[in-house]
Amino acid sequence: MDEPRWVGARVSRIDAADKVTGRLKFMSDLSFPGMLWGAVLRSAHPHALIKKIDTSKAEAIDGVVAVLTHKDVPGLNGFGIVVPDQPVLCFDKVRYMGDAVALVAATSKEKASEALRAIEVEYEPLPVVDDPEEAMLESSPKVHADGNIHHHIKVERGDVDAAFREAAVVVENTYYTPRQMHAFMETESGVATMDEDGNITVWCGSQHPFRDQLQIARALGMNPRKIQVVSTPTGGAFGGKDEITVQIYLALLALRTGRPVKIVLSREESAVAGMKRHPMKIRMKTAAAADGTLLANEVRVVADTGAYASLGGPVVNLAIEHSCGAYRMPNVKLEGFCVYTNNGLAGAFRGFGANQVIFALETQIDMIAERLGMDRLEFRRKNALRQGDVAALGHTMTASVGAVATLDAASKCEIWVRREELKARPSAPHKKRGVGIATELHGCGLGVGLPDYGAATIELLPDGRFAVGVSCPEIGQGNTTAFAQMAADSLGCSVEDIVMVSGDSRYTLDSGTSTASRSVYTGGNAIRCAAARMREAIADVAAEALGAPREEIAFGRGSVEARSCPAGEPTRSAGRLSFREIACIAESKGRRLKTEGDFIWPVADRGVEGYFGLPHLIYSYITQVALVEVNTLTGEVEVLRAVSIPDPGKAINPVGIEAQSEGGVVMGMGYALMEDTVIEQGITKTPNFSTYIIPTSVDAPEIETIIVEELEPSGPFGAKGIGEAVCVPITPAITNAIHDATGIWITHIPATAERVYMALRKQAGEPAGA
Amino acid sequence: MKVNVVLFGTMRKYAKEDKFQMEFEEGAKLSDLLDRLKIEDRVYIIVLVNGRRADEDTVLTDGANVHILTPVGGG
Amino acid sequence: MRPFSVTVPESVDEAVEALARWGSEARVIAGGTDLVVELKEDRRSPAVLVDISRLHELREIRVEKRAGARGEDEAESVGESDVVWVGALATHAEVASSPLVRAAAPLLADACAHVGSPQIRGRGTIGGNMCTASPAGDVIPPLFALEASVDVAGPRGVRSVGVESFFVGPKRSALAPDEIVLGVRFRAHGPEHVSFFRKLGQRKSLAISVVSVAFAARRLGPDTFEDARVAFGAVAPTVVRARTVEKALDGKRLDAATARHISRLAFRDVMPITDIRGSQAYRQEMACNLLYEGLLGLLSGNAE
Ligand SMILES: Cc1cc2nc3c(=O)[nH]c(=O)nc-3n(C[C@H](O)[C@H](O)[C@H](O)COP(=O)(O)OP(=O)(O)OC[C@H]3O[C@@H](n4cnc5c(N)ncnc54)[C@H](O)[C@@H]3O)c2cc1C
Repeated sequence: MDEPRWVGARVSRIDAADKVTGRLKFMSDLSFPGMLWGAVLRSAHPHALIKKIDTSKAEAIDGVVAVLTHKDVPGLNGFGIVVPDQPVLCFDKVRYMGDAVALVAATSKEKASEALRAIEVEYEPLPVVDDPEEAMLESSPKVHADGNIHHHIKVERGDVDAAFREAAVVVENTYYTPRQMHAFMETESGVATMDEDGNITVWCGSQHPFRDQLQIARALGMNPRKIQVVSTPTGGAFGGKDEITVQIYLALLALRTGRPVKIVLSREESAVAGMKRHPMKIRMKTAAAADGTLLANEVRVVADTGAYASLGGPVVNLAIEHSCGAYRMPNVKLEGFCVYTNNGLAGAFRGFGANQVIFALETQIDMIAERLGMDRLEFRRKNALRQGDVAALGHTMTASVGAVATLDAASKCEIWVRREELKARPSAPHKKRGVGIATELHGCGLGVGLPDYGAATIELLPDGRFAVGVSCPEIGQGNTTAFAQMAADSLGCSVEDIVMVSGDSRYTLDSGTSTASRSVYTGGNAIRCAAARMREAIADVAAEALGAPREEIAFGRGSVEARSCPAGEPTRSAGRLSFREIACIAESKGRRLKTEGDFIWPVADRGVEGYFGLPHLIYSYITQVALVEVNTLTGEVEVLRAVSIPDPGKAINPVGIEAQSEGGVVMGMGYALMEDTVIEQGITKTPNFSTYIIPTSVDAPEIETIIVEELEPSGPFGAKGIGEAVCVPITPAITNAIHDATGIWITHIPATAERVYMALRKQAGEPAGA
Repeated sequence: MKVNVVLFGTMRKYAKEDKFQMEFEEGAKLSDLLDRLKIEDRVYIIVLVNGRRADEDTVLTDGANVHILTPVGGG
Repeated sequence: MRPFSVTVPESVDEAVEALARWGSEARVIAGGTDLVVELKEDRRSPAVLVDISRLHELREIRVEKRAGARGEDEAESVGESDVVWVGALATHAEVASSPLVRAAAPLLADACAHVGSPQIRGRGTIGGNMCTASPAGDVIPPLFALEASVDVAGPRGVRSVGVESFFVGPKRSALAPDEIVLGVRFRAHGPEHVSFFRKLGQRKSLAISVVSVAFAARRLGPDTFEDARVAFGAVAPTVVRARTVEKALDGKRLDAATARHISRLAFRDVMPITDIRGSQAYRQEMACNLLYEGLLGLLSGNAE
């Protein structure tokens, strides 16, 4: 194939103009004639039995068109990606404050809220289960009948005990991580419509329209083919729209009323009912030899999944897989528990279990380096995985490995090279500066035992452009632009000649989720397959039209030509046909040029017996460096500069990688310093952005992104994926920088000013209040 | 004709082995295969035939690779 | 949110009349940045909103009483014996960028510059900030340190209230339901004055104060101050003056150690609570340390 022209170029996003001008309509912006407003009655208790539900007063309100309870769920009253343990509408008990008890549809928002207030539910409160470790005890009240431990994983390799005995340094600590909120701009929202034939269309931002379709069908007891799900564009997701959010409510209300119904969750409702990152308590014991070789890691993770499973099991599996980071670790003993409580709901979130364990591990790594008197970067480089190495879980790293390359680049970046000089000049004498570094690897795709597949369609339109369909939704990450670039180069046309169709279960083929750092890799490979077939189809039409042998047809940019004329036979139109002419010729013969491509992921050589989804074969790598300044009088931490060095394989769109990298740094910084959904006795204390603190543009540091491309031969143009890794090591890079500045170790995030200040006081031997 | 079947994840409960071959008459459909495996819940499953999402009416061909799984997610 | 009607008076008298007519059913709205949140959360459900945004005279920022001659440029010539009047409808953005306020009361301009975000500063007014009477309201500590007085209009005419007596409890002011705030007045700072405002939030902007401090004094010598006024926000049911600290500072020659020692006396003047933004112990410490940090910045021997 020709040199790529679009792949690797700094292409502006194809949706940029519509987004910045506000022209673009998200699902929550859609309106239809006769549309009703839907609303959800949430539980009044974090844990209670439902004794009685009386909807009669609500039904009597003028303008209320439907009130639904569990009796009105025609199919399975449950959803959940892995196990459907979350009721669509609760019937016997409620397990968290976000549990849905009833739905209403009314002619206005106000009527809908009035109806919610008029529904009478009698509860019998139960003891609240809010501590995951207590929840694991036999004696604890049960959130679900079969016990509070939803999932348990244990992986052992080598002999950790022997390694601990022989090691020169062993560090052991307990880490605590917060319940981060996705804080997408568009809350869980959408519209459902029904046509005369009873087909339902659900317009709702999400991360996998085809799986939503099946979950909706299961709850409605309906043929999935009668349900269309449209989920592009999505106003941010970050994993928080991987699970069903409001889709089933919308579909049920449209089915009952026959009218379009819209639901838009308020920020407060979203904060209480929506998904979060799993808070984890991590016990980690890590050992190294005197020469700095890592010997062993023993890890115990307890994750609070809240009331329902969703992807809690896979999240804990991935926490275990990532708990040894980008290092060789010959001896491991890793154990994870995913536990039910009445603390909201936790599930998929960018990083998927890695953020928590990488924070713990990368802190351990700095502690060991300090104890050994080794340079923190050298210590990491020495132990980093290389291609061909056996990873912690015992599988061989056969795909591209960029760990060392990203560390090499970090060793040359300005804030690392000049760190002593930068540290020597704080902005005031009572402020201290430090530089921190952290690295990780991040699994792309779904891992061993979960076949990961994708598909794409390409159609030559009458005007000579191509419609390219990939179902992985555009959730703001820019995948449709990357798809268009890869399609343009695979077809030999311009990006402007690509019309992307995305996230629609009717007009695209199932290519899986926009999660798991997988959509560019999967969609790209499927596009390449469909494009090769499209070129063949075009060549066939051209050969016939030009009267040239098929092998003589060569592709230019936007056109094909016959390389030479068969002797004595002059070719038509001077031997060259534009794609538009090809489309005309095909149409005149009643043919539509449309091809499909598919792709199945390669997987690692070895699974983990008894579990699915781990390990991975392909990983992205990233090293991040942070320069911070700590105010020792207040504990405030300012991140002054950050350098982010991802290895995404081929950077299909460097601008897109930079955007991911910058967004990821800020998200990981919020996780390090300020974000936490506080739940006390099952009640959310931080239900809006006045109490749930996320960084603003003023808090964002100056961010430099240095892209290191370790090309992955199985990837489209050498690409892997990078959507998640960008927000992970920055967290420990910041907390390690706090240590570098002040000498205190952060083992409990977020490192709020108060936590940092109290730790400083403790270090000085003067507890606060003295 | 013979088709190759692989069961993933929780779908493994429908057979003794994860990977096996099945014999069908020419023209058999995916629904025949699912019937024979006694897979009743057909709403929340994904079947790939030669790597592509298929539905119950998909006609099987000799040597086809059939993957049966439940929808999953992950990071 | 309950439905309500809106009345838009053209004069202060009309506004006061409307309030008298509707009684407890009415609520004044200025920028709406506090009130709309309360309406949305159903914490208040007035039947009538009295929108005072047309009372343009309440938007003014001016020098009211001048002792000396009037110069060309108000801001440049403003001196200690002058009195500055800031209307209740002046927005945070207007106060923050007013050359007059920046010259006569830089700590007030600074406090306004640190309220919320550009959008909030563009709408929110200093009158609204005062009438909400939050112990964390950022405009209030500077007004305490300026010993401002508040002009209030009601059916019984206009009265002036000392700023400390205006605030009677958390979210409670001395304002009667049929009164509106017209503005505040305070004596301008002269060249011999020093002051600062410092706020600690959970992030750099769009942050409600966990603790705030306003300081004003007259410089006697390089490291000596008199007439010090120290006010803290978010550490008591209302903003409070730290009189123990003020006394200890008076006329004392400061170095880092004495500044630290005196700042720690603030412990005695504050009685914070624990809430989602910070614990009691941390707030107590921060009252002392913010003051200390600010004083360090004023000392001659300090490189800061
Ligand atoms: C996102 C956000 C961030 C914020 N950040 C900060 C911050 O950092 N610091 C801070 O201090 N505050 C902050 N606030 C609160 C608020 O913006 C300020 O208190 C603002 O000054 C209120 O002024 P307003 O004109 O909007 O008041 P309004 O909402 O119009 O009124 C507030 C109250 O005062 C009454 N009122 C208003 N004017 C008068 C008057 N002249 N006479 C009598 N009664 C009157 C109203 O009836 C109402 O009860 C924030 C608010 C939001 C929404």
